Amino acid sequence: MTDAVQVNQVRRAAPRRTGSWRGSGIKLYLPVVALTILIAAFVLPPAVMLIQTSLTDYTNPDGGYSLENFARLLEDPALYISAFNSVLFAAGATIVSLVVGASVAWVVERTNAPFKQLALATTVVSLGTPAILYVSAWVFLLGRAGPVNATWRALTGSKDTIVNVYSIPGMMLVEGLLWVPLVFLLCGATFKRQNADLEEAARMSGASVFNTVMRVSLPLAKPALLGLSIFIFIRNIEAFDVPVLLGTPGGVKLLTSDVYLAMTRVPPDLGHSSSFAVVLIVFVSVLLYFYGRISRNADRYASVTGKGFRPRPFDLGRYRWVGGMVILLNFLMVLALPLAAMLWNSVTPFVRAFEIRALSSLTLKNYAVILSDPYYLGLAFNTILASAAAATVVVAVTALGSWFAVRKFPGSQLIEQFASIPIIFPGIVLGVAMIQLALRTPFGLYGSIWLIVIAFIIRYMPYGMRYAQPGVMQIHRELEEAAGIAGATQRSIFRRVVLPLLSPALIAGWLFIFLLAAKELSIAVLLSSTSSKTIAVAMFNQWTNGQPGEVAALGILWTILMSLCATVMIVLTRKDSKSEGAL
Amino acid sequence: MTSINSMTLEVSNLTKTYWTSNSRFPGGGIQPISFSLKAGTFFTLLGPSGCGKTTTLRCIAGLEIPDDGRLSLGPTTFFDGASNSNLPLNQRNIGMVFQSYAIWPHMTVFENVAFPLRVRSQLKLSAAKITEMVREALNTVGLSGYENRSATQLSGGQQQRVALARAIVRQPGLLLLDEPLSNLDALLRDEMRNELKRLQKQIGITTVYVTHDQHEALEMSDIIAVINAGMLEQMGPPREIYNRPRNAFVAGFMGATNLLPAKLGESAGTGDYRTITLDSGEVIKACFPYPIAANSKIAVSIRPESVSLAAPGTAVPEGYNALEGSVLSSGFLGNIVRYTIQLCSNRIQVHQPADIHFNDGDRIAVHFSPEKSLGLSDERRTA
Ligand SMILES: Nc1ncnc2c1ncn2[C@@H]1O[C@H](COP(=O)(O)OP(=O)(O)O)[C@@H](O)[C@H]1O
Ligand SMILES: [Mg+2]
Repeated sequence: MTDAVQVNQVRRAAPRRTGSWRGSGIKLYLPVVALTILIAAFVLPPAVMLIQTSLTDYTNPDGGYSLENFARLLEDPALYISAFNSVLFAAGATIVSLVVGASVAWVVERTNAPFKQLALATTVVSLGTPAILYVSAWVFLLGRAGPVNATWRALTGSKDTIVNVYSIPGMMLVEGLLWVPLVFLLCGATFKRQNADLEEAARMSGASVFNTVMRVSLPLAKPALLGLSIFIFIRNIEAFDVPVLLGTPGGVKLLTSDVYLAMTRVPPDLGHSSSFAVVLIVFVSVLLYFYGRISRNADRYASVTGKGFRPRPFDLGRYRWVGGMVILLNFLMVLALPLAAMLWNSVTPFVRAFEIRALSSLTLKNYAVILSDPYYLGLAFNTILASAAAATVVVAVTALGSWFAVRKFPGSQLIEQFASIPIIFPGIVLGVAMIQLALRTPFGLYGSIWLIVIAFIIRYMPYGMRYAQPGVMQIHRELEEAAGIAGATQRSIFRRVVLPLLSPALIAGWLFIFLLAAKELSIAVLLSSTSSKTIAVAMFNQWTNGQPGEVAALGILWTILMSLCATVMIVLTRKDSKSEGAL
Repeated sequence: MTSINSMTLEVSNLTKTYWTSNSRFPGGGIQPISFSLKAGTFFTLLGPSGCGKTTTLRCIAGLEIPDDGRLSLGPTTFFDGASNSNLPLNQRNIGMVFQSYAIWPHMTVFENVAFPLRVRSQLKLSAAKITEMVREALNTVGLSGYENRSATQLSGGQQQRVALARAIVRQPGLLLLDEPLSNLDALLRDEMRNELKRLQKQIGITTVYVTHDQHEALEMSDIIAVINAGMLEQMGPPREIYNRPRNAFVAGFMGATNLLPAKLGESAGTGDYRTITLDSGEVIKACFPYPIAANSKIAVSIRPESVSLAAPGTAVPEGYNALEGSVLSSGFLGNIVRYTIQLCSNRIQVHQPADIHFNDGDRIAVHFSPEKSLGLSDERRTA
């Protein structure tokens, strides 16, 4: 003991060296600090702007900052109704997507059921499809005149409808199905990592398939599933498309649609929507806090896997067809039915039910209009430009940022924090903040496509980190150290070693962000002008103007294009077995 | 690979301690360590896992900044704690082979080996010169013709050779190897051991080799440094380390031995023979290769092959120690039989030629020479 203390004192007296093998001093600090400032310049202004506006009382503009907006908001019973509706809607939708997505993922990843490729194809196509298309398809399918209600009427002879899509249950169903593809991908990653030995041990001990699943597979996946469900719940709380497209016409108010309505009112109620937005942010932040805690635990569970383990599929035996049915049903609900509805709508001159006699009136006029009108070409160009520009900036910034952060460059502590801030902004909230920012910038940002690009960059910064960070972690330290010893500078280590090894993750991340941005509605709907409209916004406008035929035709064409991108992304992420896709 | 600029490595009082954020005591590292290697020496850092070998090597490489001390290679000072100067690792001109080989998977074999030549733009090498140097390095390690293979398509042994070629391609002044053989299977390991040694002699490069395997160390090294818990226990040529271990730890680490604890009454000088009483009460005569202070805890180290077994009552060879015991168990190893013998309270291992046979439970006499009974210090450093 005395020895140790002595050692201790000796050591304490010795000089503490700063720096690492990567170097020290200004040359190492400068790029890190510059990048930190760049990220901060993107993410901090909207946050500041929102808080500032929420504290400004617009009925009394000279009164300085006050909590007037919040007071008014909290007194208003509408807030509580919207909050309740939001929670109810999000919870229901989460359950729908989790039950469907997790079952399909388990069947695909862990059993020998047939039609597995179909599940993947379903996911690929859905990832690229704008939500508004799904919504319009489901409105058609479940609407008053839609095939479901028509069948019901034909069967029972009643004049009523069996489902009302403009209600909370209808919204839950549609929103839930929207998230099934992502749940499928993320759950699939979890199930793939599960050690089949544990299940086989249970089977050897005499457990039936059912018992094994209930007692071993599910409890093992529980932390990961819990984390995932909170994540999906947050996304559903932030959801914009379904609340506005189905909730608003049906008189169901939710938090996000309230923010939107307050903004689009004439004159816009900035203070009201900002304080609404702040409430929404607080709400989401609390959820994210729990999400962070749970997903950390989930990682601990996941590391149960040992060396040399290879998941072996569960033999379903005589019940293989049940697994196949699950996959088929998923294909029908998530892809085939909505796609068929869209196709139908795109070739009928006006909305009409599925009927034999409607066949004679089929027309390609909608496609002809879209393919010949330069307006649509402009839309596609705007959308691709904005999404590609945002994805490129995000990937470039986060590739460098995660390298700095993961390798603990001096001064890099704030990079990850800053880059994660936007995760608390629901899309519509970011839109509100960006409008206010744009109104105050002198150089004509308002209404330009670059405003949308900047908003997309902010929004997808955390997604970029999610792809790049695990990518860097996978690069063995010694690969970089060997380059250093070989005589390379930090710059050439990044360029010649890190970047090439990171590129599969970066390309997958780029495509993921591109796909999300290309269908993003909630931000673009607030920020676009006539000259900076994106595809999603145009579809939204056509839809609200009652041109479902053109929406459908445009949607089909766009879906084909985006599915190609999604295919490339999935192929890349699958090859890169350790990356689990971004949240 | 001729004209290698082989240089002397000077390490003095090199110190590095890792502090975990919330502890008052160091979490590992190395205590002041000094050595000086003549040009062309094959020097081995040997010790159990976690003793600080890699830390020492990484300090020399420049991958860790030492707390204190001085490092220099030939005329170049790598690190000097006194003047707080540190030469960045990419300017040190050393070659290193990592435990994981660290072959860049996105490059071909040729590109891997050419990398150290390409990234040093100040060398201003022409493409033809680079090709020639890479060819020569690959030739040296026996990988000619593999230039265009993707690095990931190689076997473990071949990856090892690529790593080696990359380390020597720009003719560095020092070669560092961190457990390069530990990821190979047993057969390949033996082959590479000889190959490495041959290469090192051929190039004549000063080499620091890290391993936890005493056989590797004994076979390959000119000089071995045995490290334990961050401290240098002994340094010297293989024969000296094996035959005259500095203390009980070194004796135990350098191959199988029996350590019989005892307490030394009066101090012993170098080369003294003393009759001592073991903690078990038995009395033997031991030789002291190093001076030991009075009242020290010691252990008498007797190698299993230095002991002979005999039936009780057999004549004891002149001057030999004789103890009584019984056979606990025996195992046939082909060329020898390994016996476990129960003495008064100690158990010892004994190796005997396979033609002598005793049964389990037999009473037996144990004979060994005092010359082969080394009295060694056995003070535990920290409780
Ligand atoms: N970066 C580090 N931070 C803290 N402790 C470390 C670090 N690297 C090594 N250590 C500790 O220092 C000791 C020596 O490690 P190392 O030199 O790697 O041992 P080895 O002899 O097995 O190569 C170990 O106890 C290890 O836990
Ligand atoms: Mg080591």
